[in-house]
Amino acid sequence: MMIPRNLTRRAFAHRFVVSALVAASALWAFLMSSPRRALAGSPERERTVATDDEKRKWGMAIDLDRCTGCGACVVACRTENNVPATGSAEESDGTDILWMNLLPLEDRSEGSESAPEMLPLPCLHCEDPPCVPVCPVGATYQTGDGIVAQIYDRCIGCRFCEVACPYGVRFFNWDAPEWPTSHLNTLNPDVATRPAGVVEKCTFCSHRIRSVTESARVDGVSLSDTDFQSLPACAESCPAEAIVFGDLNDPGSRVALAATSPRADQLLEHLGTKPKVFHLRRERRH
Amino acid sequence: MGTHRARGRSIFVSILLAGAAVLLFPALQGSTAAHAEGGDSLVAESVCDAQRLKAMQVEDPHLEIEIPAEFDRPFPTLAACESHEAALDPASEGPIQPIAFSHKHHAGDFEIDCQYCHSGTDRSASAGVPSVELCMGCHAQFPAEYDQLEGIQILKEHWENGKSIEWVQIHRLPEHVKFQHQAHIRSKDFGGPEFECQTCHGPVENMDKLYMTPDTKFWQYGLPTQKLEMGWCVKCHRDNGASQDCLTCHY
Repeated sequence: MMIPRNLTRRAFAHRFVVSALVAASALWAFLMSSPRRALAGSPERERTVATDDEKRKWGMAIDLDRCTGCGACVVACRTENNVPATGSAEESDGTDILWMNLLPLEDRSEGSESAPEMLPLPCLHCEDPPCVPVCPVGATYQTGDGIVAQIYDRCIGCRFCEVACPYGVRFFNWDAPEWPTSHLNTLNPDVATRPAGVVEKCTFCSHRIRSVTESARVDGVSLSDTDFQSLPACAESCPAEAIVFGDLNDPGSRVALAATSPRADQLLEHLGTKPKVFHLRRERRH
Repeated sequence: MGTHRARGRSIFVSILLAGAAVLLFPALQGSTAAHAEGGDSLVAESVCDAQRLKAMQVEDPHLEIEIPAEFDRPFPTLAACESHEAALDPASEGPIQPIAFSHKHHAGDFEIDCQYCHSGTDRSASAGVPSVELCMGCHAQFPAEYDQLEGIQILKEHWENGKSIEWVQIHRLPEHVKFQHQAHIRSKDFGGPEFECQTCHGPVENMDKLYMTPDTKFWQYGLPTQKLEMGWCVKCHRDNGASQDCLTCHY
C-alpha cells in the first residue's frame, strides 16, 4: 500500500473519513439495487389471487385431414396481429413475416397419387422452447399457461432465438411496418405494432385469451372448452374447423383428445422440444 | 454589532414589504380598474363580469356597480364562469383543450360520477371519452344564457354539425403497453384492493384544466418513479399481489 511519508495525522484522518463515506454509500447503493431485494418477497407479497391461468396449458391441434390449404388462417392471422402485408420481393429475399405459415408438403412415397398437402405452421409454443434460454435480455419467456411470449420493447434484435428455433417460426423485422393509408384504420388496437429491429412471432392470440379470461373473471363466469376451441384468429377463420385450440390440462377438451389421437404428430419430436401444437396426420387414401 | 444587525434586519423587512406591495399593487389594480368607468361605479361587460361584480359587492357593500339589463341574469353562474376561464388559462399546467371543459366544475362542484361520462371504466379496457350526445343530454336542457360561454357555443356547433370533439389525450400509454380499466376498477369484486380513479389520474375533481399530476416517489430501488411509468405500475402490482408477467401489459 502506498502511503506518502509526509502524511500528517490530520490528513490521514481526513482521507479515512472520506473513503469510509464513499465505501458506505457504494455499499448502500449496491444493497438498494440488488436484485435479491426484489426476489426476497415477504409471504404477504406473494400472489394472493391464484388465477386459472396457471392451471391451464394452452395447446392447438391442426387436423391435416380437414385442412384444405385455403390460407384463411394465414390471412386472418395477418389481419388480427397487425402483420404488414408483404409482396413477392419480401418473399424472395426471405424477409416475409408469417406468424401462421402454410408449407406445401410433398408425398414422396412410391405410387402415391394423393393431392398435395399443406401444413399450417404457427409457433409451436414448445414446453421446452430452445429459443428462450438463448435470449440474452430475457425478452422471450414462457408464461404460466405455456405461451412462449415475446416482449418486443425488451428485444434487442440479436436474432439468437430465430437461429435457435428449429421450426423457423420466429421472424425478424427488417423494416418498420408499413401499411397502405387505406388500411391504417383497420389495424387491430389490441395488438401493438412492432418496430424495425425486433423479433416477432405467434402469440397464440394471447390478447384474445386475456380478453376472454379477464371478462369472465370480472363477471364471475366460468369458462368451458367451447369458449376456447376457436379462440385464436386462425382457428376462428378456418372454414373446415381443422384448427382446434384449448387447454391441454383439461382431459375432456377437444384439443387434449386430439393430442392423444394415434394420428397426432409433434413436429421434430426427436429434438425434445415438446411442441404444444399437434398436427394430426392425414390418413392414407387410395 | 447589535445595532448593525438590527438595522440590517429592518432594511431587509422594509425591502420585503416594498416588494410585496409592488407585486400586489397591479393585482389589486387589475381586478378593479378593468371595470371602472367614470371613476366611481363599475360597469359589467358580460354576464360573467356581472356575476363577479355582484360577488364583490357582497363583500364590500359600499361598492357601486352598474349591470346592464342584458347581463343581469342568473346564468351562467359565477362558478361556471370562473371554471371556464381557468380551463382556458394558458399559464396553468396541461394542454389547452378544444373546449374549455372543467373537470372541477363537473366532477368537483356538481359531484357527477366519473363513470357517468367515462362509462366504459367498469366494463371495458378503455374508460372511453363521452360522446357529444352525452354532453348535450344535460346541456340541451340548460338555460340559453349558458351560450354566453364560448365552450358551450363550440359544443353546440359540434352537435349541429354532427362532429366529435377532438380532445387532447393526457393520460397516454405507449403503444406497447396495454391497460385494462375494468380489471383495476372492479378488482375489489374479486378479492383485490379497491382503487379510486384518483390513484392514477390525480385529484381530477380539483382541476379546471386537466393535467397529469407529477407523483415522484422513491421506490425501493432508490430511484424516483413517475406516475404511469413502468416502475410505478410494477410497484403497485407487487404490493398488491397482482400479476407481474410481462404479457399482462405488453402485447
